[in-house]
Parts: sequence; C-alpha cells; structure tokens
Amino acid sequence: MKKSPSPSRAHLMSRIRHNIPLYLMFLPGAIYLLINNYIPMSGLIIAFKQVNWNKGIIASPWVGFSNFEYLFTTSDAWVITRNTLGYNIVFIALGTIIAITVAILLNEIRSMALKKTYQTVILLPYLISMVVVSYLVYALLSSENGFVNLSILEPLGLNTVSWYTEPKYWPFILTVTYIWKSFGYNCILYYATLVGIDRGYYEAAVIDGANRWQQVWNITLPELIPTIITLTLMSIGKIFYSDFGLFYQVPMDSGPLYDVTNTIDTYVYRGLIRLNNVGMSSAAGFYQSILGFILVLLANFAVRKISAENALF
Amino acid sequence: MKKRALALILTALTAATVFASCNSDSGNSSNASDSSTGSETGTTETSTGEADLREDELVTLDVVCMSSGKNEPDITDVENAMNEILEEKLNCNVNLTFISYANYADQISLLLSSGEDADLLPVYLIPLSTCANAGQIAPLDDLIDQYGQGIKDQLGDYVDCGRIDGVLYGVTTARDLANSQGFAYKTDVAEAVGFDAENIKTLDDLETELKKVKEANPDMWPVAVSAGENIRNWGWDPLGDDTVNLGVLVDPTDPTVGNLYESDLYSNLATEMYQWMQEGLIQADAVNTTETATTLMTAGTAFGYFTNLKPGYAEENSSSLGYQIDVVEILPALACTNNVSRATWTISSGCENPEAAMKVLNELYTNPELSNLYMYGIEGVHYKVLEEGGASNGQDIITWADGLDASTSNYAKSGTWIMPNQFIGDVWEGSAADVWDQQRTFNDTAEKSVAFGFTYDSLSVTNEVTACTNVVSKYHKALLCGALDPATTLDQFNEELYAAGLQNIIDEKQSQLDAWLETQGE
Amino acid sequence: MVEKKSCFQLVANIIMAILALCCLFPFLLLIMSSLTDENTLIREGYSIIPKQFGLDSYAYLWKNADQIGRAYGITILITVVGTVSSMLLTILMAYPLSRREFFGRNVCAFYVFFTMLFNGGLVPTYIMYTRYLHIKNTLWALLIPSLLVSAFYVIMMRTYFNTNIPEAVIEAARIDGAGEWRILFTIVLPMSLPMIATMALLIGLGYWNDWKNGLYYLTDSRLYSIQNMLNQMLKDIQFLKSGADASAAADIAQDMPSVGIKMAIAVVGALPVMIVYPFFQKYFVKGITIGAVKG
Repeated sequence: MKKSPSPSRAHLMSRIRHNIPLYLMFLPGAIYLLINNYIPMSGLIIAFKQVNWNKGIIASPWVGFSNFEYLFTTSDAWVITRNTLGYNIVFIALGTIIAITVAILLNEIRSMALKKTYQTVILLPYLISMVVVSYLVYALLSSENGFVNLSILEPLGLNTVSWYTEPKYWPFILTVTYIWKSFGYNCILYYATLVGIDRGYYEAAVIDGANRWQQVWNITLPELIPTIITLTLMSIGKIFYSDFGLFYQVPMDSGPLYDVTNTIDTYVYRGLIRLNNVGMSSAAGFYQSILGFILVLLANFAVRKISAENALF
Repeated sequence: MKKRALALILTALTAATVFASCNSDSGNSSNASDSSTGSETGTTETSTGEADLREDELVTLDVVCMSSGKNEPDITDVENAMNEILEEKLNCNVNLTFISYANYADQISLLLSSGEDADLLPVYLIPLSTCANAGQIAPLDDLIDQYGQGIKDQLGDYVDCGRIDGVLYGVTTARDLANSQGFAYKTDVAEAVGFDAENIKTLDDLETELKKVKEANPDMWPVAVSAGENIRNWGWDPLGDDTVNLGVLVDPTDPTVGNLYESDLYSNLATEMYQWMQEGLIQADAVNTTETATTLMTAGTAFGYFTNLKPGYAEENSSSLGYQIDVVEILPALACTNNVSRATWTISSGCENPEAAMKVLNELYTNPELSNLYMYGIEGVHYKVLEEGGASNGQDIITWADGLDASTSNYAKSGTWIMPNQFIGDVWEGSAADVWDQQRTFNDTAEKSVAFGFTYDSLSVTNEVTACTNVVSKYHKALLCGALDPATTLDQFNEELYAAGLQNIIDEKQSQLDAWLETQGE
Repeated sequence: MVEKKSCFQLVANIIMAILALCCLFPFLLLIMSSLTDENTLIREGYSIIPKQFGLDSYAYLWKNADQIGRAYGITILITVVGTVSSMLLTILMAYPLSRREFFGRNVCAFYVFFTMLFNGGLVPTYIMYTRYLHIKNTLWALLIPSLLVSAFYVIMMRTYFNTNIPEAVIEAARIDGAGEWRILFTIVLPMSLPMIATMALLIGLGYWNDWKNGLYYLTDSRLYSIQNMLNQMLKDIQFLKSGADASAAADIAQDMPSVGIKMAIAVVGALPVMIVYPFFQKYFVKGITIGAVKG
C-alpha cells in the first residue's frame, strides 16, 4: 500500500464509495468473527493472571510470566519442541507433495467411474475420528492379537515386535497415520483448483508438442502455486500445535514411546490434567500462537518479496 | 497496514475488556448484595425459631449431577415430585440437570467458570482445591453451621476432608470413603480350578493361586487390567496426588513425606508384577489395552483384576455383569483425605442464594423420601417395592417397575454414590439388605491415615508438578503392569523425577503437613 | 503415442488403486469388527473375515432406534442449514478479499487470518455464547459457535477466486454495467463450481463430524447429534482412566458400550457421507466446461 503513488483524497473517497457493495459483503462474516473470535480473545490475558472466576478475569491478580515457566523449566522442553516442529515440518512437506501428486494423478485418469471411486475412497480416512483410528492402529499392531504380528511377521518366520514399547518405529508409524488420514482432504483442495484450470492452456501445449510431463511441469504446477503457498502459510501458523489425538491416542499414551511421541500439546495435557489450571493451559496456547504468528509474518514477508500476488495479507 | 490492523484488534480487545469487566463487576455486586440479604434472612430466621426454614419467596436452584448419559425424559416428573416436598418445607424448587460422565469434567468446568446454570453440584474428576483456588465454589463454614447440622450428623469426621486451607468447600457424598485393596475374580473358574481365597493373605499367596488358574486355562489371563492401570494404591497415602503419587506417606501412620518410587514397598511391588508378567499371569497388552478387565472376563479371556474394595462390591458387580464374581481382600481399609474429597457436593460461587442451596442440600442428605426420588425416580413408575421396610435402615428393598430395565426406564438409576446420601435411601434388589449400614461401618472402622483431613495445595509447586506428572505417566503404569523391568528402569525413573523437581514437592508437602498437624494438636 | 498414453493410464491407475486399497482396508476392518461377535472380537482380535459373525451391535443400535434416529435427523438438519449459511457467508467474505481494487484488502485479510492463530480459550467463548447470546441447549449451539465462518475456508476461497477468475472477465462485466453483487452471482460463482462444491463438501463434513459444540453447549442429550453420541461412548474409557472409585467403576463397567457398538456407530456415522459424496462429484466436472467456455 505504501508503495503505490499516494492517491488524491477525492480519488480515495470515490474508490471507497465504489467499494461499498464489497464492504457490505464482507460485513456479516466480519461481525461473526468479532463475536466468535475477537471478543473472546480478551481471554488471552488469562495467561498472565491467576484467575479467580468469582472476581472476574479483569480483577484477578496479575502474575507476569509465571504461568509460562513450566513450559521451559522442564528438561523435556527441548524434546517436546523438537517433536512438535519436526513432525509438523515433515507433515507439511510430505503431505503437500503427496496431496499434489495424487490430485494430478486423479485428474489424469480417464475412466469417470474409476475416478469417482478413487475420489470417494481416499476421503474415507478423514471421516473416521482419531479415537477410532487409534483402535484400528491397535488392531494392526497389538502384540497379542495384532494383524501385523499375527498375519505377517509370524507366517514369515520373523520375530514379532512389541510395537508399543519400541520408540524407533513410531516416527514412521505416526507419519504414515497422519498422511493416511489427511491426504484425501488435502488432495481435494488441490484437485478443485486443478479442474478449474483453463483447458485451453493444455490444448495449446499439446499443439506445441508438449508431453504429459511438460504439461504438468509448465502448466499444472505453476497454476497450483498460489494454493500451495496459501495452504503452507496457514500450516506454518499452526506449526507449534499438534494433533492431540494423533500423538496421545494413537500411541495409546504408552510411556516407553514418550521420547518420540511427546509434543507440546500432550505434555501440557498430561501435566495439567490433575491441576486443571486455566492460566497455565492458556499460557501454553499463547506461547504456541505467538511463535506461529511470528513465523507466519516472516514467511508472508518472504512471499511478499518474491511474489506479492500470493502473500496472505 | 499492519499498524492499522493492530489498532483494529486493540479496539476489539478494549471493547471486550470493557464488557468483561462490567460483567465481573455486576457479578461482584450481586454477590455482595446476596450475602447481605442472606445474613438478614439468617437473623430473622433465628429470631422466628428453628422450625421455619421457608424462604420468603420461592427460590429455584439449578442442581447438577452426573449420570450414565442415557435419555431421561421423565426428569420433569421427578423434579415436580421433589419440588412438592421442597416447596412445602423450604419454599424452594429444584431444576435438575444430569450430565454424562464422559462429559462431566468438561461441562462442570465451564458451568463453574461462567457461574451460571449450576447452584448445587458435586465436584468430581476435577480437584476440589483447584475450584476453591479459582473462586468457583463458595465457602461453606457459616452455611453448614447454620443450616447443615443434618449433613454433619450424617458424615461425622468425613466432613473435614472438604477443607482447603482450613476452609470448608465441599461435603463428601456418602459412599465407600475408605479403600481396602484386593482382587476380584470369576467364581465359576475359581471353583473349577480350586482357587482357594482362604489361603490368600499376601501377593505371594495370590500368585500361587493364580498359577493354578493359568495351568488349567492356558488361554486365560489370570490378571486383566483396565485402561492400563493395574494397581492404583497398595497401602500408601498419596496425600492428594491420587494417580501420580508425588510425595506420599509410604507408611500412613508416620507423617514423613517420602518418594514412593524409591521405597521398598514400590520396588517390591514392581518386581513382583514384572515377575508375574514373565510368568504369563498378567495380560500381555496390559499397558495399552482399550478394554476393561470385566469385558475380558465376560469374553472368557480373563480371570480377575486388582481393585479397591468396599462392602457389597461382589454382589453389586455380579448383578451388573450377569455372572458371579467374588473378591478377596488383601490390604485392610485405609481412609485418606483424597478418597473422600474426590467427590464432594459444593455450592457454586455464582449461586445467588447460597442459604437456600445449603437448606436443600441438608434436606437431600437427611430426607429419605427426597433422596429416594432423586436416586430412583417415582415409586410405581420407575421402580417398585419388593419388601417394605426390608432394608436395615428401615427403607424398602426395590427393583425396576414392571416391564422396565436399565435401558427402557425413563429415569435411569445410575451412580447413586454421586448423589448426596444413598445411605438413607432404599436398597436395590441384589444388594444385601444392610449394604448401607455395612458401608457406614466400613467407613467408621477403617484405619485413618495420620494425614486424614489434610488437603495439600500444590499452587506454589505447579511447575514441578507438571514436569513430574509427565515423568510418572512415562513409567508408573508400565511398571505396575509388569511391562518394565524395575531392575533397569527404577533408578532412571527416580533420577528423572528428581531432575523434574520432586524434592521441592516433597518439601512443600512436608511443611504444609507439619503446619496442619500442629493445628490438629491444639 | 497411443501406447504411451495407455501406459501412463495404467501406472496412474495402479498407484491410485493401491492408495485406495490402503484407505479402504482399515475401513473394511472397521465394518467387519462391527459385525463380529463381541466375545470373538476380544478373544481373536480384529479380522477381515471374522470367525464368528454377530449382529449384536446393530441389534443394540436398533433397540435405540428412536434415539439414534433423532440424532441422525439433528445431524442432517444442522449439516444442511449450516453448510448453506456458512457457504454464503464464506463466499461473501472471500470475494471482496480477492478484488484488487478493494480498499483495505490487506487489513481485512489480516483480520480474517488472525483468527486462525489466536483464540481466547474456551471459557470466554462459552461465556459469550451462553450468557449473552443464550444458545445453551438450543439447536443454535450446534450451528453457530466456531463453525459458521472459518478463516481457513475464506482464505482458500479467496485464493481460488484470485487464481481462477481472470481479472479481465470481471472488468468486462463492469464495463457492461454490472454491479458487484451481479458480478459475484452471475459470473464469478458459476465459474467457481469446482471450488464451491469442494468447500460445501468440506464445510459439510465439518458440521457432520463436529462433536465439540455439543459437548460444550448441550446438557440435554435429546439434542445430541450422531457424533455426540459416538464421542460420549468413546470417552467413557478415558473416564475410567482418569480415576474412578470402586463404586464408580462398577457403574461404568455396567454402562460401557462394547467395542462392537463403538465401531458400529463409527460406521453409521461415516456411511451417509459416502452416499452423498458422489452427488458433489458431478460439479467437479461441470466446473471444467463452464470455466472453459467463459475463459
């Protein structure tokens, strides 16, 4: 905005007047966000208070940053931060690549019947709640009746594995579970953009003698870039959060696995479940949000430098 | 651009802050006026004599409780019947709400924080001390002295377990308030293999008997585990830290706070369990199981489970499971504060008429007719009397009304132990006629921990508690399920605990306990 | 050329088929376990071909047909009404953000995006909705909180408008004298059918799968949606973990639904989506043709 030549006042006014219908369109949603998000956001100060609900949030005593201390004084601070960030980076990178690949493959498939079937089936995992997923993973991995031990490893004459006590397998298991559950959903977002691409581009490319690969590389991917950037930026904002169900329920809260399954969210949950301390839990949320916020601002700034078009704001 | 955005947000926040503060103001002022009017009515009442407890105007109280979460369409009928009694005696009405146990912790936290829709409720699953510290529940000392004599008479010493820093915040429900530890098992299997409960005095004895079960039924786990927890307590007083045991009285007769996980008691227990696991006595997937022990027993793949016991445990569970189980007690009953304060009735600080709430609560603790309505519904509609006056407390023996069962009744009896006082009410068919008196005796005769009545406040060591809780959940359950070898893990466990600040918790607990013991001596 | 094409088709089909199987297998396991005899399930574990079939779980659901029927009705009602109103608000919000000449575009985009990052926590939201808007124990509770407008969908929608609707088309319409409302509804929306279908699907799924609103704002179980029922059953086991007394444990053991029932409800909760989904799919195709014509 600053860089555009400063418009004269009259010009600005007329621009705003022209925009009135747009403001009206924006308004209902904006009011909803005000009520649903912004006003309750005053609750963020709980992170700096020792809340006494009887006095109200405002009158409760300030305690500075002491609600945050527990996140840093623990020797696990490094492990939980590493796990949270590490998994998220892998999830974002791998998740995006797989979702795009699948979306492109899906788009290329000629048979309408098959296309529809694939599309429906890959969304199935997204429909199952994480708790049920944890049951299914357990059905596969349980040491007693598990499908993997009973029907794969034993018949092959291999030693069975006690999956829930062996940390080394879990980064892989969690990643596969995450991708399995989410790729259908992400794929749909890309696919919608894909089918919206003007057919004319492809026809022109075919006339120029471009093969499939070249079409994907020169037309499809560039058209997908805005969507990729938007989705990635939004994931970066959430990079200090983790899916509680995935990291707590899927590993069945198994102690020996903590080194590779403990994230900020599970740590906070375990630590506070008995204390039930609102101040401390909102401090954790505040910490996760503010770091995500800073990262998003940086990332958005970088995107803006490269292609202002695609920046979030 | 960013600045403007920030300005926008700030405006929104200020707006929000303003409304938040005026609402808390109004909350305060209404509370203040309540208590002043309260004391006025209090004085008028004492002058007009004890007999008339009626409110001047009809007061309606929101009474929240926990249930199985099934539909209860007849709740209004029960409410009306209760109101008939309450209106005549106290000029009060109740508005009943039931919340399923799955949702209970979430919903009462919200109800208590918002200060609305709940006047009387049992605090359960969230610690009483947290609610008290957060100003969510009202202090009860004055109220109970004035209107709650009946509650005191019913509960005796156990009332004092609801005190936080000397102030009474909750009164316990009448239930098994002490715990004895033992083993519950399927009777038919036991008889078939000659499992001799008479012989069992220690864990080693139990092991010998369990081996018989294993030998005769190789496909059956002698010990099954519910939700990863094999043994919750083996005779120590956890001093409020029920499942995590951060600083306990290893010997409940000695007021020295110690680290449970370093004690011989614990290392012996863990070693024994590890050995059992090696011998195939404990379910292999114990730590991660998603089932309950009783589900496995029903399916025929398990024999029994460790549990805390109470009188009537076997009868009650046999009737709900549909097959016979027996129990053997290994450790005698011990009464600790946290068993008692785990489920206590409280008055929320948002309650506009705490006097009326205390009167109603007192009535619920002392009036059998009211209590029966609340617990079982309406006679003839939801239940029928089998034997009038058949129970040892003078009440009836009852069962489902004709054609009804747990799933078809429109006012499902569930969890009478979370209701204020089941001891004064009817006895359900299948339980012993004197089950309530048995439980009373059990509570009265249980050995009391030297710290009985002491509640510890963890506020000054919260950082250490969160860190230690994470360490404990990493090792503790797995150790007591026999999944980890204590010889190689116990030292590491303790090392991590001390690194997480366990010593600070122990010191803090000790100093609070010493201070409390001094006040007791006076 | 022809050979190459069919070879590509073959590879693409094989990869997709494998992925589809990976998604289908656990779901089949879920269905089969809901059809397995309860005791067999516990003794033998889950299996694709159960040793002993049993319809107990579905018999149990049938016994509670009125409760489940009502929960279904509520879920469908909320999903339909919620999706329609949410789509309307989302599109109205996204469109201005996609317009380059919209003054204050970045501030507004930031206003939307910021809600994704920070939230004030459950209690302030709860107080807002119950004390000031009084939606507790009403159907509004399932409809409004947190689901009605999601910044994520607004931004996705905006990105789509930005990428797939050429500025020239809008400019041309404006020269023809069309107002913003007309441009949005007669030109932009028909060109965006694939994304609209996608959004409607995802927002609809959001409503369909939601159990949190029910958990926080409903104490009257008669208003429960199907997911609330499932969630309540799944949480009973956590309740046991969180530490119950001997008395409590007995109660819960009695009321605890079996695994088979949980699985059956999960199936019952997911199946309708599978039935409705194909109807959305035709819009993915329609979008192409309209887009091609207009573009």
